[in-house]
Amino acid sequence: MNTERLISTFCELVKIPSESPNDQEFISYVEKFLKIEGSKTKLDSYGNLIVKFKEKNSKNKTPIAFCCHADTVKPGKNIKPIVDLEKGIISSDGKTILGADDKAGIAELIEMIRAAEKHPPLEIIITRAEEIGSLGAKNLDFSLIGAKKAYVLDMDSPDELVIGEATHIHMDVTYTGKAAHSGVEPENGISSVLAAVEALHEMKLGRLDAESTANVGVFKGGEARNIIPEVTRLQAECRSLDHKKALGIAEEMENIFRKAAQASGTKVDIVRDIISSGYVIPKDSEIVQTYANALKVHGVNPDIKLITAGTDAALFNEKGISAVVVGIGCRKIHSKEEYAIISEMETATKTLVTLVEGLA
Amino acid sequence: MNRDRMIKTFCQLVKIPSESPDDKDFIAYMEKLLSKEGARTNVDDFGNLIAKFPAKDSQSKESILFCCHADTVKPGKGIKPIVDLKNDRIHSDGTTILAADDKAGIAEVLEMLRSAKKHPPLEVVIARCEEVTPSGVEFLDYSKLDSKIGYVVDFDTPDEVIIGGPTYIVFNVKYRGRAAHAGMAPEKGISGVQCAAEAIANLKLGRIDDLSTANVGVVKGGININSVPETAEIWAECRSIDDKKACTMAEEMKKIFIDAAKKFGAEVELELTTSLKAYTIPKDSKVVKAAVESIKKNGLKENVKYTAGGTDATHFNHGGVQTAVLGIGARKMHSTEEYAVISEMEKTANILITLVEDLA
Repeated sequence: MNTERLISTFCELVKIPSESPNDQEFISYVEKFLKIEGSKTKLDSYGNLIVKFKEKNSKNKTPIAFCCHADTVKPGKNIKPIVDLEKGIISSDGKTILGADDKAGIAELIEMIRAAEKHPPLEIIITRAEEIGSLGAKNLDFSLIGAKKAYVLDMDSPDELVIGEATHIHMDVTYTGKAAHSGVEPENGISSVLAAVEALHEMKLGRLDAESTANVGVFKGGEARNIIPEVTRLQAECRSLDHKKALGIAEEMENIFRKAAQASGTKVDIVRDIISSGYVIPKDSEIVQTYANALKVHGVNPDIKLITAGTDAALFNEKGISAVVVGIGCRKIHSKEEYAIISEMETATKTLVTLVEGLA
Repeated sequence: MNRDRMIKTFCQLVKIPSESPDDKDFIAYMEKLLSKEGARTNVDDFGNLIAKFPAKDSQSKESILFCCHADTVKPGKGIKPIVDLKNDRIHSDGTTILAADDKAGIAEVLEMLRSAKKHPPLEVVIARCEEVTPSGVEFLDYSKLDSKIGYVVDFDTPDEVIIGGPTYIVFNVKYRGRAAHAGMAPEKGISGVQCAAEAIANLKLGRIDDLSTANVGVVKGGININSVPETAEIWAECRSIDDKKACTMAEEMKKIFIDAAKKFGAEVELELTTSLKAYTIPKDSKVVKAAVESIKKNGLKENVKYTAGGTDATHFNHGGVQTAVLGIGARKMHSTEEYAVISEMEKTANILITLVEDLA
C-alpha cells in the first residue's frame, strides 16, 4: 500500500465535481481510470458503473462486491483539497465540502486493487445519486452483479462495521395558498409559509429515540417580500431501525402536514418515497466476521452496530445480496468542515487488502 | 380634450422602452416633447426631468406640481399597444406589459397641457426609477421646486384621491445554526429552519389594523434533504400609516426574530431598513378639496383614502410639497395582462383639465 499514491488519487477524485445528481462526468472519469487497471467496465442504463476484476493468484471463483457512491452533497464545486501531513489530515479550503464522503472510499478501493497480491474475482460498483435517496442503487441493474456478498464503503471511522440500517422515508410537501399584495389587501391572501410553519412547529424533529430520527432539510416559500407567499415547498424525511415505527412516524408527520393545511385553508400535496427498507445481518455471519478479523489484524477493535442513516447497502440487502457498511476515515461530512484522516484512510485500505487476500 | 390625440400619444410613449433603471432615453424624449409644449426644462443630476410652464390666462402665482414616473417594470421591451375601441381598452400583445403604469398618466398630463384653456404656473416632473429602491424622486432638490402643492398621477382609477402613505420597514433575517447529518447525528445540529419557523409562528402577520400590515414574503432554508439545515433566510416587512405604530411593530418583530435564535442557540443576522416614512394630508386641505371638486364636476363619486403601497408622493410630502395621488385608469399593472380603460383615461384627462382651470 502506497500512502502517497492513495492521497494523490483521492485529491484527483475530489476535484471533479459530482453534486447530486450531476455525477455522470465523475463516473466517466472513474471508468476511464479503472479501465487502465485491467478490468471489464460497464455502465448500466441508469449510469451506475460496474467494474469486474478477474481473480488474481487465486483459485476462488466466487466474486465479492465493493460499493461506493459517486455523488456528493452541496456545495461541492471547485473543491480545493489541502493536505496537511503534519496534522495528518486532508481538508477543503472552507468554502466547500471535501468530498471524502465518498471519494475517500473510492480512492481506498483503487489502492486496494493496486496493492493486493492476490484476491478473488472482484466487482467494484460506483453508484449514482446516493445522497438524494440512493437513486443509483435503487435503479441498479443487479443482473449484472454476480456477487452474493458486498461491502459498502461509506461510514466515518474504520472501526465502524454497520450490520443494520433504518427504514428511510422521504416526503416532498407542497403547500399552495393564495397570493395577494401584502400592504394593500393581505386579507385576500392565504400564506403557504404560515401553513408550513404551523406544521413544523407541531412536529417532533431531530433524534426521536435511539433508533429513529426526523428532519426537514429544505424549506422554500414565497416569491417577493410584498406578496403573501402562495407556494411553499418542504423536503422532509424520517428514519427508524424499526420498519413499522418508520411508517408510523411518516404517517404522523403527514397527518401534521395535512392538519396544518386544513387549519390554514391551504392545499397540500405530499409525495412519499420509501427510499429503503431496513435490514439486520447476523453478527456471527461470515461477511461480518471476515471484516472484523481483518480490522483486528491492523489493531482496530471493530464497533459492530446498527445505524439510522441510509446507505446503498439497504438496496443490496433488499435484492438478496448480503451487504454491510464499513468506514473510510472522514469526519464532519455534509459540511464545509469535512476532513479526512490520513492514518484512517491507510488503515481502511490495509484492512481491505487483508480481507481480499484472505478470501483469495 | 382630444381622445384620439391622447391615445396616439400614449401609444407612442409605450413603444419607447424604459425598464428600470434604463429610463434615461425616455426622459430625453420627454424633455424634447415638453420643450415643444412650451416648458423650460431641466434634468437634474440623477436624471429626473423638471419642466416648468408659465401661467396661462391666469394671475395666479401659486405653482401646481404634477409628477409621473418614466420607468416601467419588466418585461417592457418591444411593447405593441393594441387599441380596442369596441371594448374600451388598450392592451399589449400578451408578451409584455402595457406600461399604462405610468405612461397613461403621462399621456393624460400631456393632454391636460394641450387642452386646458387656462392654468396657474405648472411644474411637471417626470421621475426616474420609481419602481425600484431608491426612487428617483429621493434625489430631487426640493429647494429648486416652485410648487407647494401637487399631484402624483400614478394610481388605479379616476375617482381615487390618495391622502396618506405608510412607513415601510424592511427586514432581512439570516439564521445560522449548525449542519449535521440528519440520519446519523441530528442531535449535533442546530436547524436554521426551525429558528425561522419559531420566529414566524410568533409574529403577528397579515392585516394588523386598518392602517397596518406585516408580512413574511420569502423564506429560504437548507440545501439537502438529509442535512439538518444550517442556514435560513427570511424577507419580511411591516407597514403602517401611523409612523409610531410601524416603529413599535418593527421593534416587536425584531425581538421575536432574536428570541427565536436564542431558543435554539443559533446566530442571527438582522438587517432592518426604513424604506419609506408615513405621511398624511388633511381632507380639507386645498390640494385635496380641489381634486375632489374636479372629480365631482366630472360626474364621479370621489374615493378619498390612504394607500398601503409606496408612491412618489411620500417623498414630495416629506420634501415640503403637499401632494396627493390621482388615478390613471389602468388595471393588472406589473403583469402582461395590464390594460388601460379608455373611458377612464378620458375621465382622468378631464379631471386634470378641470382641476387646473379651476385653480387658474
